[in-house]
Amino acid sequence: MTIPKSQLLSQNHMVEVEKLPDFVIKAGNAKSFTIPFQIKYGYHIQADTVNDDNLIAAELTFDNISGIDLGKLDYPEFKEFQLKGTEEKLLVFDGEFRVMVEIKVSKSAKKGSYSLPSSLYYQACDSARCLFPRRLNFQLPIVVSD
Amino acid sequence: MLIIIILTFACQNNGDTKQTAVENPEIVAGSTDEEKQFNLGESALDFNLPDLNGEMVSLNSLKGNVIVIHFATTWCPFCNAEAPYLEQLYQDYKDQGVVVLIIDVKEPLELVQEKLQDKYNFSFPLLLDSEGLVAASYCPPEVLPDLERDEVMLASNLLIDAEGKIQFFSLLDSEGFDAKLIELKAKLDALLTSS
Repeated sequence: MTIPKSQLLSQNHMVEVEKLPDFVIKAGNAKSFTIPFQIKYGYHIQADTVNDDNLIAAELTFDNISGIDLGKLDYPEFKEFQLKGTEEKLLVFDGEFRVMVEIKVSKSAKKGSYSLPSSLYYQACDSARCLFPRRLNFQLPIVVSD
Repeated sequence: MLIIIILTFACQNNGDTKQTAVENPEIVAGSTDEEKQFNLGESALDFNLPDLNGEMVSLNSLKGNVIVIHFATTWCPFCNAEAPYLEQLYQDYKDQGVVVLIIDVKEPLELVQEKLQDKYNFSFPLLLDSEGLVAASYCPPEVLPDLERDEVMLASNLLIDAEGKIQFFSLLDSEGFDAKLIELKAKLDALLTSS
């Protein structure tokens, strides 16, 4: 199941979720999947780790669906972005970045297709602008098999 | 008393060739030629915003002072990098009557208090532009038209002379980021000297 276009980037988003294949997993199992994100050319977002409490770290969150739990999240390694004229370095993602998420399906989960509401909260800048934080909503296509 | 307000700069291009107290007002804007087409020497738009104590501050009431304004948010990396230099600027110039204001855009008082005032211990007012209307009013309409007007103004700096005319404007430019406000201070020195 692909992500409907309407759920992808709005005109005002600087990050998009690339087309996701179904995440197929058997009931009673746990499995890790990769969610690929693409940041608009010229922009970067604060990474999941920030070195200043005031900054807004990227955060991937998921709603609850009975029988499906989310385990470990693995964000990629950040890059350092030097603020010119200062000693400050931002920890950022740019270009494509992939987050690995562990999905656990209970034994009692019913077989079938599920759309797990998900969102990435992020704050983006380019060379000339820092944009208000945004929340990119999308669906994770999960298929519970026998 | 000089008031420094950095933030928004109103762009009214009506073809006037008004003279200002300082020759050659300078716009330090973004990297494109279009962004440099700002009308310095125009009167800054008035505003009336609350500070963190709820006291209203109007730009017109500060006329007669040189004003530096910085538009900011708590999460803006460049605003945070510039913050200590704004405080230092105020300390260096307050005896010459220069006023510094930060206008925070679309954030609640409690957040601004904790993340900006408590963190940096500013000695000058932080004003709350809770709807972003003041920031938007100063934004040049032709700059980055796809973005929200108030968003374009984040991390910008403005210098207004004692007559209420805009004498310096800088939008964020990360390649030429001037956290230490060197260009602004050069312009401020020239303005104070000439007056």
